[in-house]
Amino acid sequence: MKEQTNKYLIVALISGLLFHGSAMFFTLENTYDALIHMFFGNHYAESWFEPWNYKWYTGFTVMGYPPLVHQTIGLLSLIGGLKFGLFSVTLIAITLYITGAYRFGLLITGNKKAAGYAALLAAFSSTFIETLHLFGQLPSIIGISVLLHTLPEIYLWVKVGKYKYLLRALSLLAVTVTSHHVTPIFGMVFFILPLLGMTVMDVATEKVGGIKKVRLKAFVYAFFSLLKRMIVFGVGAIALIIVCILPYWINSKNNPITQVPIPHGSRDNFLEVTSSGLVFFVIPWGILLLLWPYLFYRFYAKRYLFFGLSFTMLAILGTGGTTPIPIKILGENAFNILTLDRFTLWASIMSLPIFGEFAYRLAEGDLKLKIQEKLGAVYHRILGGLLVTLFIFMSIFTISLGYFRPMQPDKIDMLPIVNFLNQDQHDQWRFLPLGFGDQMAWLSSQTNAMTVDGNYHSARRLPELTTRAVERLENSKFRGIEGIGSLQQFLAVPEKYNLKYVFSNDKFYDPMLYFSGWQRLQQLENGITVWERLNVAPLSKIIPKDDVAIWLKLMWGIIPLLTVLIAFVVNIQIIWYQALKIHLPKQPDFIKFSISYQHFSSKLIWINQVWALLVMVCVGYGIYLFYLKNATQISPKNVITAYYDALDFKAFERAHSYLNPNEKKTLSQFMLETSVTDGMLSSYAKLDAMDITVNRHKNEATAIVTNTYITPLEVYKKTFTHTLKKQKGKWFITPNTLDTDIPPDQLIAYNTTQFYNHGRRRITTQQTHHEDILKQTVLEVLSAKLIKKEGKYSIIGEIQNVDNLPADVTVKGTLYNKQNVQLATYNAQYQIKHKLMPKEITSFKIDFEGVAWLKKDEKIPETFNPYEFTSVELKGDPVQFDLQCAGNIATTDLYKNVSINQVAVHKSDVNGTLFNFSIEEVTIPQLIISYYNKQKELIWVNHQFMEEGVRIQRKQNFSLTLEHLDDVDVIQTTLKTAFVNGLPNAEIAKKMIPNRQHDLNGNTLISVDNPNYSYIKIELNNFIGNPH
Amino acid sequence: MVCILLLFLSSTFCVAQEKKILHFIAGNPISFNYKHNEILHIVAQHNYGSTVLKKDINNESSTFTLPDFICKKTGIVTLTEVYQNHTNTFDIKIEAKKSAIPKLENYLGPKSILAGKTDFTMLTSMATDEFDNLLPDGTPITIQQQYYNSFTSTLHQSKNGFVYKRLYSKPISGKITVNTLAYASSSSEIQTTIEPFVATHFTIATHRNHEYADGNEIISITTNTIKDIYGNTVADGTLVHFAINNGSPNPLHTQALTVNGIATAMLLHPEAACNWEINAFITDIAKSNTVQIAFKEALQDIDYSFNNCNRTLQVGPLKSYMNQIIPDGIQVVVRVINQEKQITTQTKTTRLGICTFQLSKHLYPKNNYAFEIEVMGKQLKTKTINVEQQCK
Repeated sequence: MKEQTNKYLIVALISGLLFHGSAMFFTLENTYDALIHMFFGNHYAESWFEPWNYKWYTGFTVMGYPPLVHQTIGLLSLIGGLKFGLFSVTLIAITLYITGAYRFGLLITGNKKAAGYAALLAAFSSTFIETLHLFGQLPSIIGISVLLHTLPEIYLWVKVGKYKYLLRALSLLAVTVTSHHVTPIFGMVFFILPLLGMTVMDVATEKVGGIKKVRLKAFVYAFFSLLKRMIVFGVGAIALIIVCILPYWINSKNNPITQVPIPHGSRDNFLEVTSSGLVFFVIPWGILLLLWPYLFYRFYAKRYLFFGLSFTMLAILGTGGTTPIPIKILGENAFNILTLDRFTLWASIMSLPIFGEFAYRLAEGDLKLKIQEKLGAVYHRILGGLLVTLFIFMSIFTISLGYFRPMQPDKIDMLPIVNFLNQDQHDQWRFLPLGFGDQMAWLSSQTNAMTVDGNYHSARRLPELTTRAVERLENSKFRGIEGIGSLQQFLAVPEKYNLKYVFSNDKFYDPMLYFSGWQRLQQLENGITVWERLNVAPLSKIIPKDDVAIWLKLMWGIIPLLTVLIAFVVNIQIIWYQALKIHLPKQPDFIKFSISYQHFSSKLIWINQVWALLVMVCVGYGIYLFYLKNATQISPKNVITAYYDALDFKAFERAHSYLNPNEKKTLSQFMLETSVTDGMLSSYAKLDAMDITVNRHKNEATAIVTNTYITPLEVYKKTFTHTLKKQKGKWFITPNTLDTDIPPDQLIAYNTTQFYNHGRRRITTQQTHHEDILKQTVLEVLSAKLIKKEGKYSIIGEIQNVDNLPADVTVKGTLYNKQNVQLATYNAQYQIKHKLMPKEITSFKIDFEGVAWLKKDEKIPETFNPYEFTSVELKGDPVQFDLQCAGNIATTDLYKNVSINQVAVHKSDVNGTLFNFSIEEVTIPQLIISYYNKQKELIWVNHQFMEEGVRIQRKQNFSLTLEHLDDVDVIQTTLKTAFVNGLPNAEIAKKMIPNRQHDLNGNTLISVDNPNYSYIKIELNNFIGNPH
Repeated sequence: MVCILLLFLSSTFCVAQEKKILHFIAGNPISFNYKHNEILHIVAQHNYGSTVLKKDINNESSTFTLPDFICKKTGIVTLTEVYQNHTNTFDIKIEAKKSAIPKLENYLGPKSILAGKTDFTMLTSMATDEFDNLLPDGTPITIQQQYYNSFTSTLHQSKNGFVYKRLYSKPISGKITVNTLAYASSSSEIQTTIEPFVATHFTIATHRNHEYADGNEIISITTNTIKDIYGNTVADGTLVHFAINNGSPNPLHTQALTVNGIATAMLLHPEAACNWEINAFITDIAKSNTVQIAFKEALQDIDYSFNNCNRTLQVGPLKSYMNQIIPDGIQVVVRVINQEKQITTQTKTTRLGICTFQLSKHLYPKNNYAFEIEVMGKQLKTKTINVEQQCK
């Protein structure tokens, strides 16, 4: 008989390649992982044998991830660029996956048609679409696909015992190992072990002449007859797993993952976190969920018994935190390291042959006949149509998920950033992207500049990162206190990391950057804002690295591609025969074990129909609950929640629809009123929690709403009062009246001095052109104290810009013990005005922040708290300190034109009014409050950010509560250890202002009635969100 | 162009002349030619380190050539001839080439100094040959200075390879331009800026459109041109503080930056009549005179009425100093009092002189209430009125 080409396989291959091959150009770059793999590919393209990469973190080794896929991308990139490499490898992955599914299907069912159906279904299954087009897990796909190709060879080796099968099996397994490390290890357990069981079962069947006659004795007998081959394969496989990626294992041993686990959606309780349930359970299972009874029925047939056990296990492990079983099976440690979605992926891939078999039986087999006979042909057609529709729906839904709910920020044009980094030696410093999503990997691929951040969290090395569940600094706002806390430390002490540039794609971080002393440099053509910090030294020419032995580097560089080459040579014969049909290959042994599909169990049909109905009802109920939750106007509470939710997402039209239409506030009026208010709450806050108290009187109600807002700087609680009315069964909010204050003048003219710094006047690449160096601005420290308050140490003081030019101020404090041993060092972050005009003065405070939760037994709080402060752990009591201050010429953020127009002090409450008299709108005013004792000596400094901005020629009220300061101990007061630009402070003081008259500080101190202090001073620091 | 200097040395000559130093000019090739072949190699110790010279054998003679980079650098080179059984050491000295057009390298810093007589900047100048070697000590270098119309020139002789000069500041702010000359070369100019010294006391003046405390007019406070003791206008952007004592223990406060020595700060008129005592200062450096101004009461009377069965309290129309309606946005505070106890406070802003307060049924059940109204520093208490539950 002439070997027929399997039409289903051909159709699956052609349509699969067409479908995925076209879609990947629109999806792949928005996935979580694809760009990371491309970055690794770029690493190999640039330095094949050198595993150390300087670009991320403070250098990391790429030996933390099996290299085959990355090296292939790197190799192909030499032909047509990185993206060519990525897309070519994806096409290879698709081909391998579809053919792998076919071979696996054939192995399990022994039926070419069923296997063909399996290939066709595999090509469009939601689990594959999700893994490729949503997650971009290329190595994982290639790993599992090659494993599927390996399985028939393993079967044949164990059953037939010819060495060519062993060779093929091991050669393919080596490819799997070098492309993904987790796949072969778990694959051994979940795929290969059940396969061996099935082989033994088949041999026993042959022996006793029929599967039904196989009893334990026959099975054990067959098992021992095959034991030698199994051991040979097992030893070979384990040897391959160890040898092929030996450098990986050595690296894992040397740099064990001691990080705090990063939360992953696949570990959630899917019933509580329904979005995780959708992504990690419903989508990967897809239509298979409806066929569970059939799948379990078939997998628990005697021949597939071991697959049944494995399948059950995978299905249970894939439920994540929904049931307590996975955590018990895996143990807490493994549970928190592994991402459990891969179990569901493997379960769905394992069920493909059975799914194919089902489809075959439904489309043209006994199931069709049975249904037609029992329920009629029309019913069969409707049922078939329904299943196909559902299948297509799941596929389209999955592939378009990224379009409707983007997981990444909009695509960023990286060229301006790359050009910026290449210009003027900007790549001599590290940079930090903010709000880039996974596209940061694409940026890193294109530039030689280094970042403190990175996108492969297992390789993080800095304790500031590894002790926290922070994937990347770049998206730290989604990680609450841990994220913002980590980021804050990098921004406060950037010189520690040679961090000079921040690329911000999210204005959320702007206030944090400004108040930490950063300044806006420019906005690039692609809308990215570049922030810069002065006084940061460039990277040294030689950066330390963890070197490894040359033989490891050689292994890492040579073995992976060699495995592909060997696998290709070993398997070329079989591919050649199959492709050209020039030689009739022997029917593989497993074909013999195909069953004839007859007499589909009627009971099973009923059970499966009932099950499917049950699942559909559950889904329907879920949708109904979703609707109820979103019925916004059925109660006062719902409408208020919806209103603030809409405001939070800037959906003003929706928010307006909840206002009482009888009050006749037009949408445009509402838009105007909401858009004119700027400030921390309206521009930089995220609504975190709402507390609503409703007082209802029939169709009227009043509600007091206390909202909690998270901002990059602080948490705010704000209370609003609303009246509500019910009309035609719907509740509406009565709109609040607007503040009617109008500014005195229509047109304002104001004179200011503006500054510009050329940087480099001569166009030259010379590093520091002598004539273009600006001198550092001279500062003078007026007072400095080491104090202890509530067990925490701080350095406070006052500093003045005594130069004739505006200064950017960095104040670094260091604590020492009696033996002059350095204990801690930190910079003044929020409690200082970083920009000082000539002769301007600022109070400052340096808190010594440590790395939070360094100790394993310390509990990480579950909710976000920006006030959270981990003071550094000191080895001894600090008794002395020094201050290193640096002034550099500042040319931006010099707006000082806000006055305190009114102040009233009542006990410890201070109320006042600010008035902005010039021409920039202040987005976030900061009040720096200094406390003085009777002798007018500074004893404490604190700050408060105002939640609302001050518009031009308008007032803004503020209120603050003074502290009690019961236990402030002054440990040391000295100016001897204060240095400015490296020079002793005393010398500067003598020279710049020889006759300092301390009484000439006006009467700006506000007297207060408190036993611990007598005066306070309020200084203003203005953040302008949108400078003219 | 450059003649090749060949030295014919015999070993005996070298031993005898061990202490004598041979002089060469930087840039000329140096090689040693021996008529015998007994030296294995020569080790040269120089500024950059040590180099082993290779031997070129030609018939019976051998030649050792110093590499180019050593020949170009001035200084002592110690050469050691290595024989089979012994060594022999001697020094040579390479000196800078006295060219007619040396290169001049100048450094001037700091780039700005304070006006007066004590502050100074320093110029350091060195003359070098074409290979960047310092010319020998005693090279004459002239330093020229320009400051407005004054030109000075001083001649110096280099010591340790360079000359330096302290350039003292002048009383009037401006720029000092310097350059240097040596032989036929002259350098480009470098500048240092003389910046004004610290400010002296100054005066302030106020400007306002009217003297009424209406809370909606701007009063500006301007300094005169602030100068230092030498009469220089202070640097642009100098921060001037303004403190305003309005009779309460809590001073108001504003600040402004100077432009051409003048700082202008603005404040809003107060809402209640008061006296202001204003003074300005530059922290710890200079202060102004004190200016006193008075604000008259703007609001005439507080009108109010009750409507809607006493469930609406209308405050206004409020009139200002010319009997005109007060500007929009004036704050009106109403305290609701029941049986001598304040139960709620409501705050609203006026529009067209009127402010309306609604007394909702479920917050204010049927009862007797009195109201305390406060506007622009004026207070008024209404008589107790009866608020009905339903309007008849």
